[in-house]
Amino acid sequence: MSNRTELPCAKGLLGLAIAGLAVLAVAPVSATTSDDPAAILVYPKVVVDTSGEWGPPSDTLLTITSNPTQSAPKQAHCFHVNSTGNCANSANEPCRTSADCDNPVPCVPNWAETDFDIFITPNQPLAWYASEGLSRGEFPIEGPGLCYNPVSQTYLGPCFSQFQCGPGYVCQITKESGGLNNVGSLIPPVANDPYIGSLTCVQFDPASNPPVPDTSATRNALTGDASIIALDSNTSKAVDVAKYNAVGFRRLPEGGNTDGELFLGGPNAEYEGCGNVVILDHFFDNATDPMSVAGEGSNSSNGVFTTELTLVPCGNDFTAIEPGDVVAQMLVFNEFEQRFSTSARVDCLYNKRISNIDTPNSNRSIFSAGVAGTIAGQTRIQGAGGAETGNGLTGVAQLFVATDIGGTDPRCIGNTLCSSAAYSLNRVGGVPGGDTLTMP
Amino acid sequence: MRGLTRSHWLLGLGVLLAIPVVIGRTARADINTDEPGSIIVFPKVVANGERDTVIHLTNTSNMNLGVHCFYTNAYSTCENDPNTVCTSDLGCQDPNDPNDVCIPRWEAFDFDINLTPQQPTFWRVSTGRASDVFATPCTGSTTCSCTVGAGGGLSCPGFTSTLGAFTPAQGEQFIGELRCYEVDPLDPDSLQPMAFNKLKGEAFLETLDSGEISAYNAITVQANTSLEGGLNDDLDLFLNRVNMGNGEYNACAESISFTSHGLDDDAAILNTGGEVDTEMTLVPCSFIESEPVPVQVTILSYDQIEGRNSQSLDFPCYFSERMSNPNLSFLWDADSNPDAQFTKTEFVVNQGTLCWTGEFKGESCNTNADCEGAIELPNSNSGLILGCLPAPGVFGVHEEFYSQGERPEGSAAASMYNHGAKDTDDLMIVNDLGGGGD
Repeated sequence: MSNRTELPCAKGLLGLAIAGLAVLAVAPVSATTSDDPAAILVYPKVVVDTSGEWGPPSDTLLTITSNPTQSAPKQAHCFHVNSTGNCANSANEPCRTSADCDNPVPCVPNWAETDFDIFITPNQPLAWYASEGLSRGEFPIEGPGLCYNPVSQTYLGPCFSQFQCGPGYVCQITKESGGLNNVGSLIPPVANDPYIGSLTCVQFDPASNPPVPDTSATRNALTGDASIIALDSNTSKAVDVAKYNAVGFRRLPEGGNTDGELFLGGPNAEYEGCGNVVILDHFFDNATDPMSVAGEGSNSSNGVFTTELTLVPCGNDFTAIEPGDVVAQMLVFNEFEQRFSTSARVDCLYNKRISNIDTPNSNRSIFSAGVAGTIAGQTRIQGAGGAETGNGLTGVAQLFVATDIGGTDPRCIGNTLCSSAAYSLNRVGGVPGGDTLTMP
Repeated sequence: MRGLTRSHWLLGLGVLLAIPVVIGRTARADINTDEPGSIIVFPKVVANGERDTVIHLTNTSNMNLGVHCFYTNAYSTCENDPNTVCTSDLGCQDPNDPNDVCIPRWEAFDFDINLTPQQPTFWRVSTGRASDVFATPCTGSTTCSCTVGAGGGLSCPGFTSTLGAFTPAQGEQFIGELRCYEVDPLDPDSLQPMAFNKLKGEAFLETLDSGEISAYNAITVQANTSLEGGLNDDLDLFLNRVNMGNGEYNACAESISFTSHGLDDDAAILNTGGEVDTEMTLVPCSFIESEPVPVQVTILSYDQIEGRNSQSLDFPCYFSERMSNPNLSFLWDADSNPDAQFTKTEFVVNQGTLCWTGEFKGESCNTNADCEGAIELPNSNSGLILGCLPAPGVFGVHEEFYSQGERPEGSAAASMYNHGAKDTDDLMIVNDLGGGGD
């Protein structure tokens, strides 16, 4: 595990990332997926707030599973990307926006990265809370085991790894895993509480020494998901859970190398690329939940929608401590086919209620139902800006619906209690020049 | 609404020991939830008076799009306990009544939607949505909400181009799926499929008492846009394309999986304990408007030390059960197996052939002769006989329910992961009853 020092996110100049970008005449087809095992997983939204400073106490349950077609362990080389800012008048006061600061001071954005490794056995599901991580001794298969000879069916002494057993012997910690184990894994807790950030995991081949990005026949084996869980102190309120599948990038069958510069799409593609356009289906903020129409069976007469959009750049440079920096150009369509547009800068992580994207006054936003005119909307988001790490974007949406139970929840319009649900964005096309993920 | 007399169900249940299952992993399936497609499937649609569903559907193209849809209602009840709603025999069998069966219901209802360029739209399943070209848009000074229309359906601000009901109401006895595909917007009554690959959607399930919501991305299937080797003129839609080869639509997966909590009376929910139960919903990739398609899968569950349990599962057309079902719970029991606090669950599709109709519906077969009484589809352009056909693939969604003390249940849904691609065909027969859409 290694730490990287913090770096202000908002920079006017591009970083020193090495990129092998070229502009293609024809945009490639994107193939990021939240439905197939992949070699890179991105969890765009990881939230921790166990003491309830920003809203109800929250945490994110993260899972990662290996799905190989052959019996082989996999290594996930992961990066916590901490996008938690701090209030301008206090380095010790975490914030997402200035609204999180006690005084009306700006929230200074930050970006820091922590990397770690997870060794996963075939078909093994692993889960942990972001606030806690998993320490040695907490992984399911860590040993000690026994050195076992499957031919003679004899045992030698205890072991923690294969290297401690002689020829012909495997370190068998559990019978089911056949000697494979999680030894060497460590998942640190996220660096802040409260915290907002993202998680990226790259599949490595542990058989290589040192481990490198996996190019074997089972190079696309990882699946994962995140459940953002909020537990309000009001016990008449349900456990609020919003679950989404991690965004996956599959390793291509041919080409590329195993260095730390990973090309996602583009002319030198080693992995499938990000979508040239990502599509957010949503309800406009301040619209009333159609379930809340009086006389139609709902007891929730307060049901007002709001949607929080989280975007992360597909490319990052963890070596030069340079986050991706993309301008998200947004075209918003309502049900009348009327079109609006706005843009927002996405440097390392962008997380905002949609009706605050273009204005701090949500009632005047093009994402507000009162301005858009209808309840249903479609927003098409395309990255631009020419960053050396690429213009690709990915993300997740979280819908909040106010419930009828008394109480407060700053996540919802009107500060009422609410429940939430997460869902993935769609993607179309491919970023012409691709994106670059550079690892140390 | 077109109904259907009940078909004979053959529901079997077997318990397998942990036997290694070798599956030839072929190319990946391009069934997915994060890319627009030509066929779109919402496997879990509920409108039962306690929960309801809002469907969000979008045309991502710059041209008009015709969409032909099927609601399939599998709301069934137990034979010995008509007050218990079920979708399979597993929902009726308990220690007090191990032989109870689920009286099957299969009702498919089709309708058409015309979407204008880039148009998003939505409707509520129980009430449908009325077409109201005079519905005024929301303004900043008014609450933007739907109202109950004159015909009882919801009237909502927005543009709907179809006269009459925009989408039909399904009432409060609906558990099933919604499935749509692209048709010629200039001649939707022809039901002719089109390969635009421009449909996307989401489903939002809400528990009405508590307002708790879940959401999942609809499953989309991409059509082959090639003029040669792609869609043909008939109305038998084949999901048989692997990689970039010939075929009409991308093939379904060999198996689907998800990761979740196991069954645990003391699951860690933040810093407290609670319970988590997971509802798994499966529908066949194949679809026939007039007939429920039999499905056979093997359920594999893996715990955190790779311990594996398995069980075979047969169901006709629709399956939705929780892990806590007494006939299934052993697969995920974390109370007796602490390593099952988190599990990977995989549904592996039967690789063989089944009788789709007839006296031996759901049983293995070699030829149509093994499926006595198999139905011959008069309107099938492929001359299809619903006899001995490949076992269908499955689409799936899972939904977790969190409970703690006296709190209402919280819920969260997500799609399942695809593994491999079937090398046998799935098919959608969209005109077996003849005629165009209602």
